[in-house]
Amino acid sequence: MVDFGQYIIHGLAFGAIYALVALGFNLIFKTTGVVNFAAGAMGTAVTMILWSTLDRSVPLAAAWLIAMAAALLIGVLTEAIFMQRVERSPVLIQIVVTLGLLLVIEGAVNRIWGAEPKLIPSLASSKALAIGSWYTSANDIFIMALTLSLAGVLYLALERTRYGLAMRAVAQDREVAALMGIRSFRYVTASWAVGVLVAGVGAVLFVPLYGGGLVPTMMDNVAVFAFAAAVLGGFGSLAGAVVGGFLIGIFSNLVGGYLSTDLEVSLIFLLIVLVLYVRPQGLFGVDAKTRL
Amino acid sequence: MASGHGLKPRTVALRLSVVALVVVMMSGWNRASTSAPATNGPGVTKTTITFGQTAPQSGPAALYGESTNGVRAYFSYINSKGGVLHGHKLKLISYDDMYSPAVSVELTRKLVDQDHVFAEVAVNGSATNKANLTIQTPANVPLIGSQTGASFLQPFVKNVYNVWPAYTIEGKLLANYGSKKLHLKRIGVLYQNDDFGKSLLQGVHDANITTATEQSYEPTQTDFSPQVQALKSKNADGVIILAIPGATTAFLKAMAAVNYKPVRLMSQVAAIPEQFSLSPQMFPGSYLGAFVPPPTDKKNKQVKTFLAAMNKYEPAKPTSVFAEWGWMEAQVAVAGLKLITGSITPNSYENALNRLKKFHFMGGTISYSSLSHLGLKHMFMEKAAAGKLVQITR
Repeated sequence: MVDFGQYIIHGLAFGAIYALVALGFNLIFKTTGVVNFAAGAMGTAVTMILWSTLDRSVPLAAAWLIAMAAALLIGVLTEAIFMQRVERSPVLIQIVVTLGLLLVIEGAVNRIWGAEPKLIPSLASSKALAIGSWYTSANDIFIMALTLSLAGVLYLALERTRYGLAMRAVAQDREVAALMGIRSFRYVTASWAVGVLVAGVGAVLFVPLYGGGLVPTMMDNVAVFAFAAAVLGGFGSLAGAVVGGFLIGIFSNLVGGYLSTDLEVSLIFLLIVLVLYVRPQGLFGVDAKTRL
Repeated sequence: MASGHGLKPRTVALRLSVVALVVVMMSGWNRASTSAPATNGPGVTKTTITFGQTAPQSGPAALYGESTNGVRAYFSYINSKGGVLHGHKLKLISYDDMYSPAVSVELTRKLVDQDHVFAEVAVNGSATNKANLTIQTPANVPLIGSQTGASFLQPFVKNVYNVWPAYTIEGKLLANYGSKKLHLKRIGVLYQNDDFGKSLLQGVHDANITTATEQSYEPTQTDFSPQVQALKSKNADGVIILAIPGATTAFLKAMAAVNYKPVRLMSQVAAIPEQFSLSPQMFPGSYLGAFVPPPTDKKNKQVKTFLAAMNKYEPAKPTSVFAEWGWMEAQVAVAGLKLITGSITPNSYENALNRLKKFHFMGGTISYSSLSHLGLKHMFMEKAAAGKLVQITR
C-alpha cells in the first residue's frame, strides 16, 4: 500500500509536467490542426536561455520573465518563418516540418550550450516532505498547483473571453472567421506563442523535478509521454491534456514499479489504443459528428 | 605499321609518343604528390597519419564526447615535438554518433570507406563499439582504446586493443568493496539495460554476493522513482549504481525525494564534477571505481602534462575525466606507432602493438601480445568528498 501510494504521488508530479507540454500541443493543435513535435526541444531552448541569464547573475524573477519572453518569441518566429509557408500544405508536411525543427533546435542547443548538465533552481523547496508513510515536496505540490492554475486560466481565456471566442472560431473554420472580420493570422500566431510558452514552463519546472541536470535531450522522453497524454485526453481539449497528463504520469509509475520500466512506453500506447478503440476522440475530445 | 588506307606510320608514332608522355607525366605527378609510397596503408601520407573516432557529441551521453578533446590535445602535443615515424603528424577525424549504434556504424563505414583512416582511437560506448566491429574487423582497421569494458571485447579481438579495464573488474571491485570493506548486508543494484550495464552487473555477480534486488533502466529514462521504491522496499543498505552521468544524477535525486540514503557505490563513468552541484545531498560521501587519476590531482606528473597540454591546445575545453580517457588512449595509440618498423600499414601497426610491453601512461602500465589485448587489469576506489574525488585505495 505504501508503494502504491508513493507511485501515485510521484506520478502526479511528473504527470503535471506531461500535462503542461500536452497543453502546449493542444493549444497549437486547436487553432492550426498541427502537432508541434518540436515542443519539447523548444522548451529545452527556453530553459537554456533561463540558465544563461541566471549564470549572468540576473535575479530569478527577471530571468524567468526573459525566458518566457523568449518562449513567446520562439513561438511567433516559428509560425512566421516556417509554419506560414506550409499552411496550405497537407498536414503530414506540416508535421514533418515540426519534426525537422525538433532536430535543428536540439542540435543548435547542443552546439550553443554544450552537453554538461546545468542546474536550474526550483521555485519551491525540493526537500522531502513526509505525509504519513509517503513523501512529496513543496516543489512537487507547487508544480501540480501551477499546472492546474495555468490550465484553468487558459480554459477561462478560451471559453469566457472574446479573444477565446475568436480563437475558437479560427480553429473551426479559418476562412469563415476571416469573413467575419477576425484576423486569423493573429490568433494562429498567438496560439503558437502561448503553446511554446506553456511547454517552456513545463521544461523549466522539469529540471529540478527529475534532477538529472539541464541537458539538450532532457525533454525527449517527456515529449513522448506528453504526446501520449494529448492523444489520451483528446487532441484540442485543454481538460483532456491535463487529465491525460496526470493519468500517464500515474500509469507509467505503476507500470515501472510493478512490472518494469522497459514496458512503460509500450503499455502506455497500448492503453491509448484501447481508449481510442472505445472512444476515438479521446477522453475529452469532441467527435466530428458533435462538432457539426 | 599500317599504310595505305590506315594512318601514316609517322602519325601513329606521334600519337603513341604523346600517350607515353602523358602516362610518364601522370606517374611522375603521383610520385610528386603528398601520397606515400604504395607500400604504406590507408590514411598514411608522406606527412600525416589519420585516425578516426566516433563518439557522442550530442544525445544522452554527450559528455563522453569530451574524450575527443583529450585525443586532439595529445596529438597536438606529439605533433609539437616533431610527430612520429620521421615527422608524420597525427590527424583525427571525429564524428558525432549520438550514442546510437545505428548512427555509429554508418559513420564508421564513412571513416573506413570514404575517409580511409589508418586506425581508430577512443571510440565510445558498448553498444556502439559492438556495432562498429562489423565494419572494422573485416576491414582490419586497428582500434585502440574502445571506451568500454564490455565482455564482447574480452579476452581477444584481433584488431582491438583495449585500454579500459574490463567492466567485470569494476563490478567486482564495487561489490567487494561494499560487502567486505563497508560491511553492507543488503546490496541493491541499478544497471543500464544494455551491454554496458550487463557487463558491469556480471562483475557484481562474479564477487559472489547476494544482491537484494537488481533494477534496470533505459538510457533515456528520466523518472527513477519506480527503481528507488523497489530498492527501498527491499531495505537495501547499499546500492551499486551502474549508470551514465545523467541517469546517476536523476537516480540520486529520486532517492533524496523519498529521504532514502543508502551507501552509494558508482561506476567511474558517472564521475563528472557537476555531480557535486547537481546532487549536493547525495553525491558527497559516494564511492566510485576509477582507473585514471582525477584531473584535480595536480601532484601526478601525467595529470600535470595533460592539464598543460589541454590548456595550450584545447583551451576552454573541460579538463574532465572524459578528456583524460581520450588522452590516455591516444598515448597508447602513439606508443604503438613508435614501434612500427618498415611500412606503415595496419598489419605492421598491429604487430607493433603486440610488442608493446609495460608501457607506462596515465592509466598505469599496459602490455599486449599476439594473444592478449586486454586493457588495464587494476582499478582503485575514490570517494566524493569536499568537492572533489579523493583516491582511497591503491
